[in-house]
Amino acid sequence: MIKKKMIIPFFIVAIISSGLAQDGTSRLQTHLKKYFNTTVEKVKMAESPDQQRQILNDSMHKLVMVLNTIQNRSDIPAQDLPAVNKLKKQFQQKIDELNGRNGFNRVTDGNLVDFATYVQQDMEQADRYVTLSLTTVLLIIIILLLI
Amino acid sequence: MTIKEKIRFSGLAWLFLFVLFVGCQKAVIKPHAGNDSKTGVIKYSLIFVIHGDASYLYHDQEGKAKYADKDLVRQAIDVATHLEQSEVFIYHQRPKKRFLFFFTKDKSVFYHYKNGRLVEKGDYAREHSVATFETEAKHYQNASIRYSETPPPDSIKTIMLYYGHELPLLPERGYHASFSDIHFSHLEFASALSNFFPNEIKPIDLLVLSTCRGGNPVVVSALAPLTRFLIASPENLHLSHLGAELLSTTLANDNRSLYEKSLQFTEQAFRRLEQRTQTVVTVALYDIDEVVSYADSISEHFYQKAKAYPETFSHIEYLDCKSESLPLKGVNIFFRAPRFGRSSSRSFHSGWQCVRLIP
Repeated sequence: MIKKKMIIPFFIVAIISSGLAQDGTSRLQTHLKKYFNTTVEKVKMAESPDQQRQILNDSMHKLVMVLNTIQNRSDIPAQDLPAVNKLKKQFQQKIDELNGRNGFNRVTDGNLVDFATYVQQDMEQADRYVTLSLTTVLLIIIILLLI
Repeated sequence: MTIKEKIRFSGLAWLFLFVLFVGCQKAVIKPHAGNDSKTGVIKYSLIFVIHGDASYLYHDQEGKAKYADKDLVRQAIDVATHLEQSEVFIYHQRPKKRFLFFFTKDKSVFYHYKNGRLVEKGDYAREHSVATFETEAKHYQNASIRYSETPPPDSIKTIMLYYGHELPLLPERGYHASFSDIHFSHLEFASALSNFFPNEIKPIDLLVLSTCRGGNPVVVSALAPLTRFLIASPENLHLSHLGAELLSTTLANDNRSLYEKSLQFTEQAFRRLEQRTQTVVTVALYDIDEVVSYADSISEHFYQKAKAYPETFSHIEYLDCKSESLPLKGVNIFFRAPRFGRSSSRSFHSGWQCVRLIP
């Protein structure tokens, strides 16, 4: 016998589960863009260059840490590892530039907001997508949310 | 169950069945008539193909989230309503949407304007023509003045604009996110554009390719049979794109040649991006007749190497083409290095993006 209490929740779940039927890679790109936009807004609102630099360092280190965690998992498909490694290297290079390592000049205090915008816009190019399996994408998003 | 509960349940059940029916309907082109178009001189036939089936989210200088494809549709509509001596077709290739958890709806949208007024608007499914653009091409052939008048008017300039992500040099899955099993590359793209103009040689007067790395000899070679002029970016291109709204002023009614107008659009698109972005900005205008032999020779070399390493190259590296074989003319390049990164001190760009296959 159908319980009336189940009917409305069923439709609520069905309706809110609607959304784009895109693959995981697009979802990950969107998630990372939104994540870093939050970082950029925090940098703009920060009270000092030291705070701005700290916010940027923390945000990008978090991303690198998540990607490190993903790389070390045994349940990640082998074909995803090059793309994860590429993403990790891109963020690591930005951290190096922020802090003046590996041949980079340190980003000056006056340029930190522009640098934050540069990192953000570098993610927002009309370039080739990075193809990752849905498993890897979901793990990246979940770990990023939990840390 | 009381009578009230039975009525409520059956109402909900009918609602469910209705939504199920709507969702499962085979999508066909469903045009909705617009205003009657006034008859007037048509100087330009503009075709916008705006890819939206991927991640096109970006943020503006105020931090507001924007979707590049939706912005471009608005800009294209603005152009269509202001350019009175034109017919304008806009095809917005949208992602499939999921509803009721299990079902998906494939609903892209098209607009047809003539002499500044909306003639027709409708939606269509892409499922059977994702990589070939046949649905869009057939609609264009049925509706365009190019094919409805005999003989076709000589004076019409055809301008095609594609907005999307970088075209893969080798067939790859995932370009169309809702149809991630479909393989797509620059060759499928060139073939798809040719479907708009069956059996025609150089049917397009100006092709605007607003993607990353479109100024690549391999891509240019594939597109050369289709167009006289090409505007493209040899490097990365921010998702604020080559602004479509600039067309309204650049195609203004004056006596300048299409080449001069194209050059103006190229420079204005560059300046617009230069103001808005910290990342690299390169926009180039290619005179295809002047550059095609160079593009073809590089392209041939690329395909030979790609065949020799079908399985044994790990990735492609991109670099500015610098060699003595670069064409001496035929490329007008506007370049600004990125504000940060390893390339920030660059002061020159050749106008071409070459590739290296890494084993």
